[in-house]
Amino acid sequence: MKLLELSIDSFQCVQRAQIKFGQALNILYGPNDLGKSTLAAAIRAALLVQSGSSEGDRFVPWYKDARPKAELTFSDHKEHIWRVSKSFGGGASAELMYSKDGRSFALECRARQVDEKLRTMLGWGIPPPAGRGGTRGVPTSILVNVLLAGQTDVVSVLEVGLEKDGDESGKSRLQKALSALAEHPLYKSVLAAAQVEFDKYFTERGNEKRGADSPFRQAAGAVNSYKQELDGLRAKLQESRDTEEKVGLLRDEEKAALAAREAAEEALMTARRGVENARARQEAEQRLHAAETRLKEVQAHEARIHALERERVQHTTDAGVKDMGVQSAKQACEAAAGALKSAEDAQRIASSDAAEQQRQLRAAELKTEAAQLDTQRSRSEGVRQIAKHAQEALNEVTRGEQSVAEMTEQLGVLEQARTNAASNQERLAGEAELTRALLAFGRWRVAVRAAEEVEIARRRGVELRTQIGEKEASAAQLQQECADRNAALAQRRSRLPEPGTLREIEALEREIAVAEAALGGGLSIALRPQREIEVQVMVDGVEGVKEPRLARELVLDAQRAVRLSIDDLAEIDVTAGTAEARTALTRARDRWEQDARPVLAKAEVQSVSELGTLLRSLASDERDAQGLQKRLEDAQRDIATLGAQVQLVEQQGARPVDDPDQLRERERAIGGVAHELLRPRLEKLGKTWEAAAEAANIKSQEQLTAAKDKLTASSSDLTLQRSRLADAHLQLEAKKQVAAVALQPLNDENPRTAISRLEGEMNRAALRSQEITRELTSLEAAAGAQRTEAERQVASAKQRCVDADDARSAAEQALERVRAEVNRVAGQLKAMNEQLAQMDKSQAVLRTQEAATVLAALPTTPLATEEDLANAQAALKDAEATLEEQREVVHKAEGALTKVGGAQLRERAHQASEALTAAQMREKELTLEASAWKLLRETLRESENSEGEHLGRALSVPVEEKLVELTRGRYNGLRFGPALCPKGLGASGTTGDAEVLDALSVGTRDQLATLIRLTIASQLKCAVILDDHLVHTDPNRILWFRDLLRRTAVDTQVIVFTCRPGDYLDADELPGEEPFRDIAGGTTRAIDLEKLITRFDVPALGTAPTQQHEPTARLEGV
Amino acid sequence: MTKASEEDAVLKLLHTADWHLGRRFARFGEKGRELSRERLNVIDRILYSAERHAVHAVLCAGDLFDEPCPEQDWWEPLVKLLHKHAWRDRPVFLLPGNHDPFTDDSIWSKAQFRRALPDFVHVVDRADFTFELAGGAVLYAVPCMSTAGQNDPTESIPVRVSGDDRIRIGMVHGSTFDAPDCQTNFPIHKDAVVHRGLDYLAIGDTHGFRFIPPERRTPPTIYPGAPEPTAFDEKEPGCVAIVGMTRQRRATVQKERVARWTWEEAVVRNIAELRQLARRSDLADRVLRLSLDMRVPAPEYAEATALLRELEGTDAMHGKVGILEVDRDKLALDIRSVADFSKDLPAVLQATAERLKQAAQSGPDAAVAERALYHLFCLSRKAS
Repeated sequence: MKLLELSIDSFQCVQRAQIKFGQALNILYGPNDLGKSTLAAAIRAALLVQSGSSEGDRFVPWYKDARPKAELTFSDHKEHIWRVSKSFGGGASAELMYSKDGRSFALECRARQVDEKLRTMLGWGIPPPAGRGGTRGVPTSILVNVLLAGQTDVVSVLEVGLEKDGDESGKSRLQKALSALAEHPLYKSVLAAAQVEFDKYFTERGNEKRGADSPFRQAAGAVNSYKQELDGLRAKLQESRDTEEKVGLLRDEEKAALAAREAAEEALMTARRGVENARARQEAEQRLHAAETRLKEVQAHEARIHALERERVQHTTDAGVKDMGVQSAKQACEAAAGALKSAEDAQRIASSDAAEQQRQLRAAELKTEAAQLDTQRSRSEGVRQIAKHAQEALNEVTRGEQSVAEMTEQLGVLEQARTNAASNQERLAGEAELTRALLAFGRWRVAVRAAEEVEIARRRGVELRTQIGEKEASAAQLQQECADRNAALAQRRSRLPEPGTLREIEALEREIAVAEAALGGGLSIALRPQREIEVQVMVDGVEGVKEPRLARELVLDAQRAVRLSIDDLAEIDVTAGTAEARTALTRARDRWEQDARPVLAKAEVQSVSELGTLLRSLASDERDAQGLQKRLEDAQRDIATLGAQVQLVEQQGARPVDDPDQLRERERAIGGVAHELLRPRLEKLGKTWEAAAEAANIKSQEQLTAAKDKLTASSSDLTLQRSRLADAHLQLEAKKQVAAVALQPLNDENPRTAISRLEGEMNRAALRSQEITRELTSLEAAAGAQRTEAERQVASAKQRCVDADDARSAAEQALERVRAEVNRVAGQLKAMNEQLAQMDKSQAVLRTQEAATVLAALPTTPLATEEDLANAQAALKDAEATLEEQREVVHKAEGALTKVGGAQLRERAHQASEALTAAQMREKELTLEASAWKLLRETLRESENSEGEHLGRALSVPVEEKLVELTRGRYNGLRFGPALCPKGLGASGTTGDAEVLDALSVGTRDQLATLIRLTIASQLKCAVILDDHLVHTDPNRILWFRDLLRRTAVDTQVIVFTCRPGDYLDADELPGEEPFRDIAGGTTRAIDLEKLITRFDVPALGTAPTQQHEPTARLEGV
Repeated sequence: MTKASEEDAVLKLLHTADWHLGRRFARFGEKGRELSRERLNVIDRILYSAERHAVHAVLCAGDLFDEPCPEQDWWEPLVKLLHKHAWRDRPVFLLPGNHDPFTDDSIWSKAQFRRALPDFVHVVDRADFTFELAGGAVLYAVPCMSTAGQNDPTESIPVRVSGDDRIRIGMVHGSTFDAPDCQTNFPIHKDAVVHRGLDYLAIGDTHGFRFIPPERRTPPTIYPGAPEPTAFDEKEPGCVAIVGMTRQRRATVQKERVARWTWEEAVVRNIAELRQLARRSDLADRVLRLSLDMRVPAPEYAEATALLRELEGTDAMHGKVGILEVDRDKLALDIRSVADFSKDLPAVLQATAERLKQAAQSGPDAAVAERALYHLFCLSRKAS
């Protein structure tokens, strides 16, 4: 910073003043009480004092009620020009303006912002007005004391250090300015690198950068962006989940509705089956009823036939009886006619001798008749016995028929049982076939899969073998390549040094560079040829000008060395630096020639960097070679792995499996059962299919065997029954034959009829025998009365004849009626037998049995009515309606779901989450990295402060050099603390470590303070104001300081206020009549303040100032 | 599929799915764009694979775009790629999936896109889509009409009727019952191929190649997976399925890799493992998630950092790994080594190292101090 111009108005004792400063040394002189210190105070006020502060009240003019104003124009280190204008006291104001050209200014800021801006710009360790550490009054800091110390604060720099600074800015500036003086090079390098990294992330004040290109902002922006995206997606996902949950619930409800519908369907199916069962049963029952009815009709028909048979037999018997009655009646008629004739003969006899004879004859006849009757009765008894026997035979036939009928019925039952057993056996045979086929299918499938796996393994083996071949070829190629590379690398390595050697050479090179740098300090050679010469120049090791015909003066500036080759006369080496430095350089160079040069030559390179490049290249190639070797090893490992795989796969491929014929045989073993039927059954059995299938097969075979046994038993029973039936039929036929034989004597007469008839005949014969007996008795008992009796007998015989005729007629009529009845019954019987034949009883029986079987086979449950069915249908309809409603609701909810994302949204959220995690990781890493650099930088500084006190060291060297020069070696060993306060000073000639700092005289202290201030200002390249700072200094030292000030002012503006211009200026350097004068090539400006300050006239005691002291010159035009 | 079975095949298909054109891989930053771009490149490889195998048709089973309305930057190159292959007898079927469902405003309804597609490309835009294929085969395909759905799309495919001996191919998009969260993602019954009487069911959604169910090979139901992987946890991504159907309707399936990128996760626990990783020659096309789980002394820490730079690349140098994601959370500096490296340093740097070491041993900023210590080590070594 340099001050360009100061203008004040009504400022303390000065009414007006306007100063233009020179760029270098400014000597502002004037008598005491002119207002020099007021100018210095005005500069401080303009730069440091807030316009509205109470401190400003100190600036009000002493003799006038006016607003003090100060306006300072200055340039900053970037050559930017600023102008600060402040007025203090009542109506205080402040403005800061900026100018590019120093003529036209634009307003930058006002009021409070002015001081904020200034303090930031100055960086003097003064906090912003409202900042922490802000103080009332004129703020102080070490740099304020150094650069703007007032007349009374000349030695404040010896007492107040950095610890009083309000912020770090002053220390930072000092560190920057002084660090080059004393820091360890390695520390400096590390700190600089840390600072570079720090600057990437943080502002000068240590805050995170938040500008557009801030890495924090970018990282945080990315995180926020992904966060927002993720939040949005999560919100949508939540919505999606809610909807999914809702859909899930609705789905459950739908499932419940579906279950209800299925239940209703099941109920309906059950009802339908019930109704169908009921109908089927009803139909079967009807069919059974019809069959039974038919059978009953047939049986009734048979019963009627039997009844008719019985009626016919009865009628036939009756007819026989009637016929016998007719015969008896005829015989009775004949007997009555004979009796009548006998009676008439008896009467005639009784009336004659002849009667007696007649009676005798009659008795003989009666006895003959009686004998005949006995014979007849014996014969009838024989016939009756035959008829009885025939009847018994007939009874046997009837019993035989009944037995045959029963056995026939049993045969039907047995046939039905056999049919059932056959059906069961057929079903079980089917099942057994299925289980057998299932087992065979499973085994076939296993065999097929095994064959396929083996085939796959074989193919895989071939593929692997191919891969191994390729890999081996590749490995061989790699091996060759490795060998070639290694050979080439070995050759290269033999030419190159070890990395350690390179580091040593690099260190040597740096050492030479450092040694060369140590020679630095500059030198200048002026060559003034007396004639034309050929000159070749090398400056600091760099080929410079080559002047073939140099005749003019040649000035050469160099830092370390100059080599001049003049014609072929001489070669002059001029080297800067101390003897030690030059020796060090020579030694380093000798070592270079001895140690480094041969290495470079061997490596056929010119420089260390080339050698480094070669070594790095070699290292890189070696890494590549290692990579190649690794690839080779990988390839060999792969080959080994593939070999192992091949073995494994070939083992798998060598497993014995069925050949195609065996597979076909296995497939044939499945039989005709469809694979589609078997596959689901097999899959249902799961992993233990074989055991399950075998168990099922065994079980079904056992069941089949049992069924076969049962069928066999049933068949045996049936055969036996058939045999029995046949026997029964044979016995019946035999009985029938016996009966026929027995009946034969009866001439087809019914035995019962014959027995009845014969018993009637026998009874009648017995009655006749009794009558004959009685007649014989009467013939013997009464002869006389015989005639009467004969007459009565005749009459009686006549009457009996009439009665017998009547009886015969009646018997004949009855016989006719019975015969008519027999014919009718026989006709009916014939017709009914024909009907019976048409009725087909066996068919009726069979149908009945079938119907009974069908009925028995029909399920007895469930049974339902049409009403049940209607109810079930209604329930199903309701359930379907409910289900439809629920589906509609689910559909709507699903429709909502289709719009909110589902799986796609989850994927997006997952992606965003991953991106967020990655961004957070990057942000975390960035924060860690930035924090690490910050911490490193801070720790470096803290360590330096506490350990190195480098600032103090930095300052002590140049200050001590000047102090030694000033005091001619009287003092040395100046030491500063980290806060830049002097801590110690030694004095030449003293013993031990005697401290003389506190014992210095006021003048020496002033001088030491001035040296410190000038050194710091010089390092900062900042204007420094010295206000009567050397009032206690003797002329000799003043002279020395005069020289020092001029040297310092070469690159640093120095402004000196003094009442003794002679201390700094020669008499001929004074401006004379002009207010100022630039001398020494413009590097010094002498300013006569008397000509530039308008001071309030000091009024007489008790009176107000009425007149002002006018300067002798104006600045206008300067 | 072997050569022989290829020759026996009366119908050959290429089955692919889940291209996810337009997917962004933001987690990888700028490099993620390369993964996005590769999703277009792989389609070219797929189409060439179809030519090489002389397939009769190409089935693209959904999620071909990552979102329903992709930018023109994505669909236009796809159209160009398809035009590159002027096929006549090799139809390509594009099926909308749950990421790019067929809706009124989706890409599939965009006239500009549909008009631009070559004639041999067919968009499955209705639930009763059928197409007669070579060998008397027939394709049934059902598109997704929304981003989520709970109905099995195969239920729209008619079951095989008695006497129908044709080869029946199905194509749908969704999750099989064994997949997690499948209920809203068009659940597909694992036995749908059997239930519907299909000889091959081409499905898409999951990004890894797999048979459904895993043990069933005939008739097959297959997810070919994404042709380029999209995540680390995908199993066997990066493939297409080459399917051959014999006259007896027996399917043979060959898995063919088409991906460029391989996604890999690795954990290294010592510097030797890291060196070994860095020596690998197959890293250029890897997306590698590398976790460092090791505590190492400063020199090895520096070497690890250098190796990571070598793997990851810098502004000036390509990295060995295509795309590297490093988790350094468990990479720690063994601060016991500090004394070793700092003993030759100037006092001020030794003091700095000691302070940082103290801070790194405990406290909230231990990790920061550890990192700072590492930087100090590197800078000191570099400067000296």
